[in-house]
Amino acid sequence: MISLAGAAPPEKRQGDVPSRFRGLDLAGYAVDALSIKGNSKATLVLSRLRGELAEIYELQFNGLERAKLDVSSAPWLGEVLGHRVSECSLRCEPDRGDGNPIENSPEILLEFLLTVTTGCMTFVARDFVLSPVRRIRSAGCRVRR
Amino acid sequence: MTWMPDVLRLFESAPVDGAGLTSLNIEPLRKIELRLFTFSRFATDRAGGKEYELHFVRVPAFRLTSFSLADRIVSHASVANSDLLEDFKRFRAKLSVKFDVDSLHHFRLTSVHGQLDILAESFCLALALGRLPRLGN
Repeated sequence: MISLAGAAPPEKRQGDVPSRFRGLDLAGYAVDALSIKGNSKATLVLSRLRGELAEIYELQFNGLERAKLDVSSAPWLGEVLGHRVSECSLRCEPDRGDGNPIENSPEILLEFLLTVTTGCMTFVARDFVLSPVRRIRSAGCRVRR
Repeated sequence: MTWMPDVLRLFESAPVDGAGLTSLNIEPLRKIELRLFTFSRFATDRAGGKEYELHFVRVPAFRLTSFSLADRIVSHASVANSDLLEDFKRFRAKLSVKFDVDSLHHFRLTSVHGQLDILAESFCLALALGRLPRLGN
């Protein structure tokens, strides 16, 4: 269910994650906003620069079971939120004992770990969707290191 | 007796201890919103509980430490000698949005496993039904 066109293939082996969830690499994206609605969903607003355009995406976790946050804003980076994704990993939560999730099972729980500039965020959810929102001209807006 | 602005007095008297975090919304620089559910007796008994919203307005800095969605708030207070504020003062020149340092407060919520520190200009407490007026700047 990844709707991002041109997503780079993952460099790491993603263990027992079902094939429909593979192919997501968020390294280099900036996290601009975060919204968590208990036992429901979490939404991250992500952006990345493509030439003079800043592309805005939404990463939505559905069927959210848990979320844990270890992050802070980073004014010293001059960033809007100060979070830039350096690593993103995805694995199935081995909650069934055998560690072998069934392909296409709606019951699979995914543990999504985002390592960012100033910490990390963990989301445990049943599903996720990455979708483009819009493109804006980035010149003069902000500078990413 | 130490002088304390109304906004901090209201925050420290907010009925959030023991409440469970049900939602969190972070829009950097603009606001941080939390929704908390207070349980009347037991964690499994939602009858008689109340849902509050905490809105922190104009937020130049925050820090979440092991803060989990499922956690309960165990205590909350304002922080007098704030390292978060000192950090902000040191690096504020790099922010495109300007804040009046004198109007900033450091709010702290401590949960069972973690802590949420927020530097904000003002704070607002709202019930799920009917909002209370905002205090502060």
